[in-house]
Amino acid sequence: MRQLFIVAVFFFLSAAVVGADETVLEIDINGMTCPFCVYSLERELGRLSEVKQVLISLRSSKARLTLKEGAHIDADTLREVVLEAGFTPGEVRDVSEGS
Amino acid sequence: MRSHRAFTWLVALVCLVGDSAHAGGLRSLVALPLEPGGIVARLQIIGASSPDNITVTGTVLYGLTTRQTLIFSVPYRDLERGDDGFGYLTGLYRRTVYQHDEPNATRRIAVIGGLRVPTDSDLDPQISAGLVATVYRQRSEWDFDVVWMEALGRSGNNARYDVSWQYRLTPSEYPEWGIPTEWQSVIELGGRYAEGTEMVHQLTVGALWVHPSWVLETGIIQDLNGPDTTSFLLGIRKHF
Repeated sequence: MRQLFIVAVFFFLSAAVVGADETVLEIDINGMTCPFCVYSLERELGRLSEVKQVLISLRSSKARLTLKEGAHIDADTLREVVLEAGFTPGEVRDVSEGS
Repeated sequence: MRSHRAFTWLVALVCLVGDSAHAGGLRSLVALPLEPGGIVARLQIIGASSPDNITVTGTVLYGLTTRQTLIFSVPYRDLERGDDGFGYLTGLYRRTVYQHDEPNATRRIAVIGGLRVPTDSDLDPQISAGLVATVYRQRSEWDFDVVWMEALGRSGNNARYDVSWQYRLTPSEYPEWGIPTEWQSVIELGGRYAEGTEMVHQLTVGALWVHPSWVLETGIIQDLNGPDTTSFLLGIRKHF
């Protein structure tokens, strides 16, 4: 029982440590109108070396980017990628846990 | 001579059919973006009932910059009787001149122009110029185009217009995250003009299955006047 408790605490702390350095950004994007149109945007955002995961929301007109551990990216860089893909970028927000 | 001119507009229309190789209508042009270096390839088959023939059109779009796109199109026709072979080879340049984006909405206007080179020695090359507009709001997309094709010689001029409405059938609401596939209905009214003949107005009804990198398309094209031809359309688009 004691060992089980120690293992559980270990995993809890590990998860907290992993999440602590993970930055999650959201960027508003106007002009997204259909899956075929935003395919390239998702791909280009995913190609950024700092980005671990990209999620697009056609419903809320935004993208959520999870950065690699310890990585940082300039908001203007994100806006430039969106513009290059043919859409209009808006606000960039840090929505990381604890931010 | 009249049947030759009629055939000319048929070839002309399928040459320009293939422009909207990314999400847009079945036969209309579209003013939506293609990223720099992006490529969209489209293959479209149109089978007409009278005269009995099949035309296969291959189209490639290439994104030069965010607002500039090159379009190349090659149709091949296979007639039961008469001329088989390639039709007009088309090279077009499209440039967005107006863009207004909102959440889940956009309005765009583009100018389009280029050269159409016939493979038939009886025909002359043509310079084409026109306008394309796309409006998207909520679940509906509207595409409009008007193009004039001026012959550089004695063969006749051509023109076209299209009004296309696509409506997202499913999903009724997008998920919070992720890019889903969707089904769209398509209704289009178009006109095809060849000098020396009357403008033929056509109604196209069909459907699109839209995946993030693939589109499958199908439809029926019905002449509302003139030859009274019914045609069937099947196509596929791939975004590389």
